[in-house]
Amino acid sequence: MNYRRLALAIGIVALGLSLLAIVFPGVVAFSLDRIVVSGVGGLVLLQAVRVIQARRHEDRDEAVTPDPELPSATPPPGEDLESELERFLDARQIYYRQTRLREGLREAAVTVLSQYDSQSTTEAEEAVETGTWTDDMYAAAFIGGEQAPTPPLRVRVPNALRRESPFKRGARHTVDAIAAAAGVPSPSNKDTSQKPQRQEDLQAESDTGTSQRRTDDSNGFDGKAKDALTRATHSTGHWTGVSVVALVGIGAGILVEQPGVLLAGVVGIGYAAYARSSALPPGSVSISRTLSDDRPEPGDEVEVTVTITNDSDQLLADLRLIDGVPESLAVTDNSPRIGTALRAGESTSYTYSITARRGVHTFGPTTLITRDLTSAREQERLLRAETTLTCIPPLRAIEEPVPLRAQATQEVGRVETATSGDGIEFYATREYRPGDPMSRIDWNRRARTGELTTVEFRKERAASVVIVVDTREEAYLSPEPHDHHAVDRAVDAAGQLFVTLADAGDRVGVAALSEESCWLAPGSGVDHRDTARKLLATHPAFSPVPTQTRSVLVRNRNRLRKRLSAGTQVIFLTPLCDDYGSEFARRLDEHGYPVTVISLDPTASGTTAQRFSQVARRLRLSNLRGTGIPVIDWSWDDSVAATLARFNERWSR
Amino acid sequence: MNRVDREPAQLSSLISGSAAVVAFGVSAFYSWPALVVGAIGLVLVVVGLVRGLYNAVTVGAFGLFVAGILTGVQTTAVSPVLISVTAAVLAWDIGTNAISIGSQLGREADTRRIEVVHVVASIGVGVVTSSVGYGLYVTGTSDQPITALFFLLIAAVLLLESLR
Repeated sequence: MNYRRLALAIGIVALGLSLLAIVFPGVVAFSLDRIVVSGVGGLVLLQAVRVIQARRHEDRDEAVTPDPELPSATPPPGEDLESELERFLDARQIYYRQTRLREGLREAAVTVLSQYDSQSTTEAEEAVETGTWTDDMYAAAFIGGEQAPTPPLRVRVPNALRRESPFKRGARHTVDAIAAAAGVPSPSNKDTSQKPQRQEDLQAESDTGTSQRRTDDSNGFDGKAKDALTRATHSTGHWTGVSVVALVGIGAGILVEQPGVLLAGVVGIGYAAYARSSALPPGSVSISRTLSDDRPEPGDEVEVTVTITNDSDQLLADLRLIDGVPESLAVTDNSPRIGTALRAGESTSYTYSITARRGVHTFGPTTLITRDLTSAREQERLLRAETTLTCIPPLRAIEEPVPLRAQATQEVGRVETATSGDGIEFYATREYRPGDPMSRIDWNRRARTGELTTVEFRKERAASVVIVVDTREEAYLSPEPHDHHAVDRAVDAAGQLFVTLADAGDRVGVAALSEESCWLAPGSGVDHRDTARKLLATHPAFSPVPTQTRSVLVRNRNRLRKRLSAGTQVIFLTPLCDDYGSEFARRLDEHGYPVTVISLDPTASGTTAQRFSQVARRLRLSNLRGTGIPVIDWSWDDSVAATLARFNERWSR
Repeated sequence: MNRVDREPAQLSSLISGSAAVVAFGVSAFYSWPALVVGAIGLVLVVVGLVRGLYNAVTVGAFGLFVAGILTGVQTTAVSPVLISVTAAVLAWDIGTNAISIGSQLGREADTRRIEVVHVVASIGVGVVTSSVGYGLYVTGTSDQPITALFFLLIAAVLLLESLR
């Protein structure tokens, strides 16, 4: 502070002296001593060095922009191995992480072996202890006891030089061996060598991306304000250090007495003054947004046109705009960003395209970064322009009948019962009893043999079905981060199942297992279909982006159970990547609602933990099947129709 | 679904690179040290512009500036020094702005307007100040006392440093 005042005072004195020297050349005619001049030049150069030093420690301070182009990322199941192993450890208290992992893997191996290798638990434990359960020596040694084989020295020595720690290698081999024992198809070698790196990268990047957006969304709008200041005017550091040009030019110019160098200093002064002159005009900007189609079909390209207007009476030289593309939609053409300069009252517009997806998509606030002409100062704002895109896909039936459990209501329909009655399919013949309708008498037989017999048909009854979709936050999963996620695909499948069942004459309802309560009682008719179609597309429970967890899940689950009337069938769509889903299915089944589980497999095989989550999911599937619940495993690359076709084929034989 | 392309803005990069070439070309004719320092600076600026590295552009432009000063120290030439130093400052300013636009808006966005406005303003400042300096040199040195110029420059530096 004192230094600065002193510099200011000396500066003013020097300015006065120079003016005096220009106006009255005689008055300040003392000749400057050579030593004094050199000393001043040296001081100026010293100051230049100080500025350079300061510049080296000062980074630019600029706005970091969000990435609205990509839809929000959903992870593949299996974030870390430890939490996946939790259920194998029960309530055991083990403090060391490595011991926990080792114990968990051992339990998992025993469980898998006793389940798939038709061994008893003791046999499985024995096999794990002695290491005979697998050919993989690393895996055998990792969870085996004293007698288990260990890898020979000649592979352990080169391994010690690799980056992967022995513990990690052991865990990876063990998980792979368990996966092989559980019959999980192993990924090709290429996949294991390349994928992990990429997946982790994507994960890390996309995480920052989404968190960025979240904060942006929640940031500072109070009430219905048109715009909100998210960061007040601050220096960007763009011109920091420009005074070096002036200082070096003048210092060196004085020392070497060259006019050219001295004049370079003048250029430096010019730029330094320009940088200091910066002031951000308090301009106000408004935006508006139009869509080429606000009720598109899924997959349609929608053109978004954004118009920016400078409402102030000053030039705004540097406006950088990033539109708030809905979190769930991807930009397919052009960029939702623009950099533009606007004169007072001027406006400009730009266009980009997004691909529509099922759901209600609200455009978030638009990020605006305003800079002044010199780029030295900057300010961040959020501008609001409410726009909503609603995409309600049509419901299309699939060719395949939906497999249902054998239990039915009292209405005529499709479920084939094991009793005879009115129907189409031949069931049995029996002796004629008085009172049987004439049309049911087997007249051919009567003509041939003279006996009176009655033909009976298989009794067909309508089922009352509720399709329940697992849309808890944990179900938003996908093998690739920016792919369509499991919930999206499950909801699409729910729509297809709904029409297919309704076409077959069943009474169908829709519900969601989620934080948002969603319930459509079984019914039939055109209106009912329309309601279901809208519900599946627009209800918040089926939102294309995960909703934050609130702890009303248990209440919703119980309410859902109470709403089901006796004998109602449940088709439950869930990825089965945590125990909650399978627990829910089992409870419903125990309460007398026949459950069929259709489970989309969103697992990836990039990391060890993801690999293990495949094993855990497979165990859940077989446990559920063990309790008598049919589980249809729907692999990620298949359509639901193909999956059902395969299932029907297997069970009709 | 590609990630956003965050490379520096094209037009500004091109202008910044051209300014760096001018700064190098003008100073390199006059002295060997300037040629060496300037060449390093030019390479750094170009690498910085291609890879989007602020520090490379800043250090490279500083090298070009030093090359210009070296030319001035070793010769009596005036206009090459002025042009070279101005071009070095322009290469720095426009280059870092290109990187900043690239990182905030990406390459796919339409950013020509802010780029043009920024470039025109910066070049304008450079032209005006170097013309003023050159005019001062041509008209002033013969009859105005050198003392006046000395005090004037000292005053300018001190005032700039204190009035931040």
